[in-house]
Amino acid sequence: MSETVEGVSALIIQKLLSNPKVPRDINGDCKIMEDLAFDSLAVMNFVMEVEDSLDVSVPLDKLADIRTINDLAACVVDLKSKG
Amino acid sequence: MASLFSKYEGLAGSLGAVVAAGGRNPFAVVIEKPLSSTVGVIEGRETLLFGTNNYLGLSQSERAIKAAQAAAEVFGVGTTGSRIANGTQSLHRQLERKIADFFRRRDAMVFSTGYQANLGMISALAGKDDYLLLDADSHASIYDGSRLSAAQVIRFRHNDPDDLYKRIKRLDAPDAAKLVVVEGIYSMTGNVAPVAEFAAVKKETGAYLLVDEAHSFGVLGEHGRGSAEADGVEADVDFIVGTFSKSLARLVATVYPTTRNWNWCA
Repeated sequence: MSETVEGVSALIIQKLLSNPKVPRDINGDCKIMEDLAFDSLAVMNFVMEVEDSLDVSVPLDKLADIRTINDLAACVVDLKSKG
Repeated sequence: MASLFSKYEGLAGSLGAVVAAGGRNPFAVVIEKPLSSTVGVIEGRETLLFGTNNYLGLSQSERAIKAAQAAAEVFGVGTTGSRIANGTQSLHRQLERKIADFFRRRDAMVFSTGYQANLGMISALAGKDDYLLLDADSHASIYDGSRLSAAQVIRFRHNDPDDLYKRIKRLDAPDAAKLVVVEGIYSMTGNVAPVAEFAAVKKETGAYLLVDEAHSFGVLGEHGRGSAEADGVEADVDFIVGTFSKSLARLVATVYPTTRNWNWCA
């Protein structure tokens, strides 16, 4: 498992693409709510899957600053580095 | 210039589609008047009410109505102040004592609504250096209480004590104070929490446990004390939050006839 932003972002995109409703042409700059049509609950549930894959906990207050897939990846990498 | 309302355009579109499909706005249903605890007049027609939380059918209790009328005669219709300033009256303390005695607790505190009980309790109990662990399916009042709190908030999978345990073990500061919040019965699904298993996790990890018995008070347990009583773990629950707006349907006399709900924590 890679702990670089690029690596985590790639993992997140791979997870997202397993959902057939997610557009196929997503990248790290995509906005999770606007471009993927996730509501706030869907975002929290998806983040929980990422947490389990990477063995990290993302406090809810950090979600307020996350807009894009790369934002989420950067947050996860930061949390992992402090853990 | 950005609009305050543009963020709701998507929701407005979704609502419009729902109304167009069904010919009615499901969020705008008005009960013109109740005829009983299970029948009301809607659009001029007698209608069975399957969507209330009137678990014991007490909303039209003659005894409660008379008690409310008698209380209003004595106390009037408002205290005109918050509890801490000048708004505590004898009925408040009598009610809180009765609640505490019923739940066999030291004390109880009454809020105006269950929503406010969670806002007040959760934000006050969990602070900057603490952790809040919430069931993923928590009620909006619990999420909003967590936002008011300065604690780090972690969600765990719904009704999954093993997942709670895993996430507690993953915390950066394992010795920090931790408050776990679960509900006795989850209102949207009717799922009952395995409170005994959550209590076991709480004891092993040194966390505190708050159970919101809003939908389980009066419904579960031999004496109606809720899910913790039903599971035999009342002694392991540190805080109970509940409401009078469901099973009790405002049974107690109130000095605030215009207040919708009384709610408590103990």
